[in-house]
Amino acid sequence: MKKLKIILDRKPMNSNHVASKQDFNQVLNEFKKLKPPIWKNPWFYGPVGLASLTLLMSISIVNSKELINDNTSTKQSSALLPEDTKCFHPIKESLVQQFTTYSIDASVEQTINLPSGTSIFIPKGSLIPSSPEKKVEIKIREFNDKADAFIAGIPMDYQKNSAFESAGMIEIRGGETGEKIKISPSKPIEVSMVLRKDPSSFTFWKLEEDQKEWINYPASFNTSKNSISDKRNELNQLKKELVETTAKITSNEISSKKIIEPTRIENFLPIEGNQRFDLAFDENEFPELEKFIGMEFEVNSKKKYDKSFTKKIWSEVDLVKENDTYFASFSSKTEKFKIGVRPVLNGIKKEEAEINLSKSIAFCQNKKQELEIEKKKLIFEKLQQESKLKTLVDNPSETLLYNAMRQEENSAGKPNRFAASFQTVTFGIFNCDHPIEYPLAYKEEVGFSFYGNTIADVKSAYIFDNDQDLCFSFGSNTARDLDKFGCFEKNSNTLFVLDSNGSMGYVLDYTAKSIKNGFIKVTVINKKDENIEFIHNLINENAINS
Amino acid sequence: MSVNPLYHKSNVWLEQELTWIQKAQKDPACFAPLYKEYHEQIFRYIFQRMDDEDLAFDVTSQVFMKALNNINKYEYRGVPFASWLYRIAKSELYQAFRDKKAERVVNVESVHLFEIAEELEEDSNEINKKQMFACLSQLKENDMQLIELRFFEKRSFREMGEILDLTENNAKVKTFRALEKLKQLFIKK
Repeated sequence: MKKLKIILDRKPMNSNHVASKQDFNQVLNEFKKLKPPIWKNPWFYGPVGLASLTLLMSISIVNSKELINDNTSTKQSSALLPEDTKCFHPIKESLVQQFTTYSIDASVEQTINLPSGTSIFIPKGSLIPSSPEKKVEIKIREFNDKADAFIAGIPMDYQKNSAFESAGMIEIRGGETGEKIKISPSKPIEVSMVLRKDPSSFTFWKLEEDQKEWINYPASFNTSKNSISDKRNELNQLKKELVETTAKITSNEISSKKIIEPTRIENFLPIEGNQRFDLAFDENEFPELEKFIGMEFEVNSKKKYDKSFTKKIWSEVDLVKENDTYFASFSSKTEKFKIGVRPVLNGIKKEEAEINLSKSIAFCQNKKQELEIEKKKLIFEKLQQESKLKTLVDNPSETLLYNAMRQEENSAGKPNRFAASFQTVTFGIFNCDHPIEYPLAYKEEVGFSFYGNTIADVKSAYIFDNDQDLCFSFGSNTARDLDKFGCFEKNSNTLFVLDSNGSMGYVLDYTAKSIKNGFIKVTVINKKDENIEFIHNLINENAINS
Repeated sequence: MSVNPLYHKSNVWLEQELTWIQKAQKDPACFAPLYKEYHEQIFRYIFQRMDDEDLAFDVTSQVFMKALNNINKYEYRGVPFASWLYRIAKSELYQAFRDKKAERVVNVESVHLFEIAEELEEDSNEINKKQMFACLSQLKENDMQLIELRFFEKRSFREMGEILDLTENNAKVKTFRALEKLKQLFIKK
């Protein structure tokens, strides 16, 4: 890993010095140089457009007879989707990779999971059809390599001097029965696009189709599998913590229930309001009562009884013990009375026991309070964990990562997955790219000849640089003329050419040595081989069965 | 940790800014007040990350030129204009690194190292400062970026999110993780 260069305590720069370098006029002048030509200015189309329209109308009136019978004039009238726009120049219309169309209900949130692992999250109400019951069509094309982009005719140049090395590109369009549909600005579509390369040194772009220009577009990258693993670990850790917190709450409740305050009964202390009396008994018969010096007996009965028994004269009084419960029995000639009693402390022993009981009760109450506070903390912690977990699973931006995690889980054993996440309120082509400068042009112009044929009128030539995984384009419908043609000699290159008749040709392992006497001999592709698979294999250096 | 009030704007200010933007969308010359307002901030953001002053001024000009070129595409959707400029600045800066016109550097003040040490519950002394300095150089670019925005430039998590295109919460979580990594490096030393 390359270490970052860190500078400690650099001399701070004065604001006046920075201000002295401000030069808005220079920025304005540079900007003016970038301004589009006059015919790209909408004002241009006012007077000029009107004049052109008048001219066209005149011509159309004159030629109306012929045009009525011309079926092709209406063929392109439903030109709604990008494959028909001038921004794209496919090598042959019949070879263009078709969109995969997803018909969706815009009234509920939707996630489109593509076979590559890319996912597109469409929030509820993001797309607004003309009537609520109408379904919306989402058309998607993924470009998995330089051949895909080339066949589709996507301009892959950057600022005329660089070509894009792509880590992944996707085209997303939306429509409703042939009409374009817009995305609500407040509910952007969220895309988690799987990339085939580490995007660390890449930038994210969107194609401005009107200007035929790629512009920087905000996206966040998962630069390694670890970032997804981190997220998964975070989720698992959060789930684990939630289980632990729940267990702690249960344990806290059990502990709290176990804390039982000591009672006066347990501590042989009298209960206010209960009747007490002295009772003589045989100490030998009840040795356990020996410790209750100066003791009293307290009535221990929940039933109603005659409280005047202590005032009556009894001929016989006795203490008996039945099943650990003491009973005092009284008898006289006329009546008998029996009541449950318990021994209670009196005097100093009682005072000591009262103090101890107070201490024990205070201890229990403190302990309960501590547990209660701990429980509240745990409940708060649990709520936070639940909320965090909910955010991680429900939040749209986090959902992208969650989806990515699930995709990763589904593709266990597959190599590292890099991804770019972005939001959009417009449809179009999104690309994770790295611009690489064009090679120097050959000093002398080269010509092309097809094997066994006359010199071909080559319209455009393409160098597929297999080492840098990109395509340098020259000639018609490209940003560079054919006289700028060249390649990086040390790299493995495939040359592909198109002539003005639509014929295609190629040279495998192309280098400057392929030029003989100023001409490059090109192998013609048979008409039967003019299909996506063949061209795909050719560009990607696979076996050609021709 | 206190955040730099420079990066915070009142609603009145944001409304004024929006008026300037709308004017600039009609007439590029009206971009001047925005240029004047943000030139220093953007320059310092760039110069914080490179060592070549002249190049930093060039990249700053490039940022404003790009902003002017794309001003018609700017729509206020909750992200302040400054954050939009920072995003362009970030892109231009990394383009300069890719083109090898500049080397990525990190400028640190001693006081920042002490603050990070305190954040990691370590003593703010010279030994720890040196150790922290050594550990910082081992951080990966993504983590360094977060530490830089948060501790060296004193930005709020919200603003960090706007610049890095993350949610505020995500910026917070990622910064916390970057700090954790720094702490681990510090402990290993």
